[in-house]
Amino acid sequence: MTKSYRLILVLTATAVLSGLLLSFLNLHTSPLIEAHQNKVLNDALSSVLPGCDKIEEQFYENKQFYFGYDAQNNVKGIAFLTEGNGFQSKLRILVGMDAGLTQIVKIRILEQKETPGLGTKIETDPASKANPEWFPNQFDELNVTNKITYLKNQAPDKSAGEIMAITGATISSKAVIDIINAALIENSMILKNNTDLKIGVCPAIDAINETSFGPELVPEGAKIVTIDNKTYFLKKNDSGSVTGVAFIASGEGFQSTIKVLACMNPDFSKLLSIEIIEQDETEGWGTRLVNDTTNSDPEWFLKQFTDLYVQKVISTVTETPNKQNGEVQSISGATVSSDAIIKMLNASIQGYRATYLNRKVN
Amino acid sequence: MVDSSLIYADIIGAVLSMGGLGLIFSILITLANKKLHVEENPQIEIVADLLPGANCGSCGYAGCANFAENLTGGKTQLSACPVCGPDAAEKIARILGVEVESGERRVAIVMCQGGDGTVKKKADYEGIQSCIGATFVGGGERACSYGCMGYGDCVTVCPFDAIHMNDKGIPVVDRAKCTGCGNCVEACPRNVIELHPLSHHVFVLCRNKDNGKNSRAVCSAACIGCKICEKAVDGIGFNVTDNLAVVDHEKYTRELVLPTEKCPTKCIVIVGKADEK
Amino acid sequence: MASKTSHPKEFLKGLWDENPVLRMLLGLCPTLAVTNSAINGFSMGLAVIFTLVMSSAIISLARNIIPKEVRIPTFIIVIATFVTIADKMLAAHVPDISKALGPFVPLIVVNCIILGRQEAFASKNPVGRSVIDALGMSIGFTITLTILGSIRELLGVGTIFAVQIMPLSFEPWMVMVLQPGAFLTLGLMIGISNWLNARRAK
Repeated sequence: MTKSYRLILVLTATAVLSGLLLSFLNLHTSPLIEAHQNKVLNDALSSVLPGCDKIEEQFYENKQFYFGYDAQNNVKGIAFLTEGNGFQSKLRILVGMDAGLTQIVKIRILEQKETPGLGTKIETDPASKANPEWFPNQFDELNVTNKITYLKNQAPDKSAGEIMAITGATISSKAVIDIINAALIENSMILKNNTDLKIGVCPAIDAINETSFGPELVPEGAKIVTIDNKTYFLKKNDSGSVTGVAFIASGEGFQSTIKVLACMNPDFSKLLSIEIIEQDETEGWGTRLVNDTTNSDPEWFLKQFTDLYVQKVISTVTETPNKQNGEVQSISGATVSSDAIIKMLNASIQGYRATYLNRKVN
Repeated sequence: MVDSSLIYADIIGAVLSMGGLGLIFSILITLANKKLHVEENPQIEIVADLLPGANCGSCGYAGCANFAENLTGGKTQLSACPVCGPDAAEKIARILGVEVESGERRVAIVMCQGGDGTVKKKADYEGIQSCIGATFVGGGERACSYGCMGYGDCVTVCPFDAIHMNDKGIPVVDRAKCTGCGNCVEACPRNVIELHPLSHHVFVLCRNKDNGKNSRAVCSAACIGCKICEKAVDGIGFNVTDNLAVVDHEKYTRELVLPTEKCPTKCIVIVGKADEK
Repeated sequence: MASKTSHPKEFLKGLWDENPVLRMLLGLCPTLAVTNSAINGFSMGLAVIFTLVMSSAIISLARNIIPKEVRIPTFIIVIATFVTIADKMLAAHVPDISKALGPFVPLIVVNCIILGRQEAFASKNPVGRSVIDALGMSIGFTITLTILGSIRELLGVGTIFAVQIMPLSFEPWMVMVLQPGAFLTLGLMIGISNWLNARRAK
């Protein structure tokens, strides 16, 4: 046969044979590989959700959760997978918690490729012969009502959510904590919004700090309460009276969901300050919300909301705004983003105010 | 158990996708082949086939095919390829030799006999044991400025292990192993080494162009330009120019009288045997 | 005329004289990456033995059928097929080792040693010779990697094949299991093999 036909025949035949061979190989190996992966996951699940008669998967908002049920079909524990970047590799962690998401029962590092002998200690530390899994075991029964934090070379306090970082592998240790913290916040919100489980307190969010409440208030960790499915962050002073109430409002901006932490005074008559905790608006335009380089004061937009009276709704004006009347100016070139903020604030202030002020005081 | 129709779907999918890719690419290659066909010197392919085929690039060319092209075109030396084994090197050298001369292997000849004891020492050299290195600092120990310095650069660069220093500090060529690659010729800073086909069998092993008195003063085996050899053959095959006798291999043959016996300094030497291959 | 290399010589050359890692400096990427322990180096070597021997056999059998214009795509398909087989079999039967070797098993496809031997040898020689050559090269590769992995594991952790060799008081040299240790050890091994060769030549 001519050279060209032979060329085509040989290459195509080789490719076809390869395809055949490999598909038969797959028949043999796929079930084994899948079985192994399932086994790994199931082993991990039974260790992070101990004593559960039955474990079931559930999806909420596209996130996967594993619910562990006891003999009476009550939820005994909840587990979820979370991923994130470690020092030099992707970390995949299975976190098992109690039914109220207040305490971690156990974690399991499923995947990591950190520095051998250092970062790999987050999974197992062969140098510590007596207790090679000392690092992940620190998360057993760890209280997470507040953020998990780490200490170096000091004995940690489990009830305060503290663990000890690995010497020489602080970045890997911190990565594990950051990944779990972020997952806890997100998953608590999702479960709170989508189930009627009594999800307990969320760990405190980074956004909460003393400046959100004005410098005159005594800096302290905020207490998180839930009233009628709404989450509030209360700031109390030394004598225990509430000096500020904060909540998270969210809404659609120009091209992304914007989340705002709004801090108000206890009778909800005045906004003390706002802080944007999540946004992905147009670079250079919508992002002027937080950083307006065209102005001598780049944070001018958000500062408008400091000590803003909101007995009436917040409105936009084109001239000098009057804070007593709840007036602010929107950002030229980013009106959609600015208006979105104002709209969501108005809506949530109304809702949160009503619920808070009508709460049954105990 | 897995549904059998799913299995068939998998297999058919794999076969079709692989087969499809194979088909598309082979058609592309066929078309490219037709359009981009280039007439090539057939020798290039023969040489390329003999090369190791590792495409390592050490020769400085883009792969073995490219090297073969430049080799047959005379732009590079076979010695540029460090991976080439002695078997292949021999074959290639012969193929290339066919182009250059009438089918004879060439070997290196060291045109100097001025080793330790024969040549006078002018200095004590303590420096880099390299001929080219010594050149920068006055040319080493030996008094003759035309001859071999004896530090062995030629030995170092030989890829075929065909040249070695003898105990008098003069390099000796193993005519069986030498492939005529020319590395030693290039390495010698004094151009003392030459390549000659096996049929050339008599040489004046000296390069000294000084007059008789001066050349004799530096080395007992130097050519003094006395012309006894030239007279012995009536000028056919031996010519003395600039106080140095040189063999004219075209004219000189074995049947003529050998001036070897007549040379007073014994600088004319028969090299190799008549039946060498 | 040089004589054809005998079968034993064909095999032995891959172990030392033409050792792919120490003399030909081929396949250094996986060599440096997976030799952080002896078992990893050894397993990679086994995968390469399988791939190289099988590919060499097939390509040598088909050497007169494959037109030279499609030489490269055909070789690559054959090699890739066997690498896929090796990768999937590892994942299915010894998943822990498969995880440790990670992305480097698929990278065997572009390991210069494999493609290099097909081009240089298997496509020009009969099956018997090609397989012997493949065995020699890949076993040489495996031995080198195992030694390299053992040195790095011994000095970097204190064990070889997870068996404690160094006394417990030994403070391991962490650098040995990291990238710089790989380069240092490999460089020293190449240097030593060159020196040994030079001595033999004298």
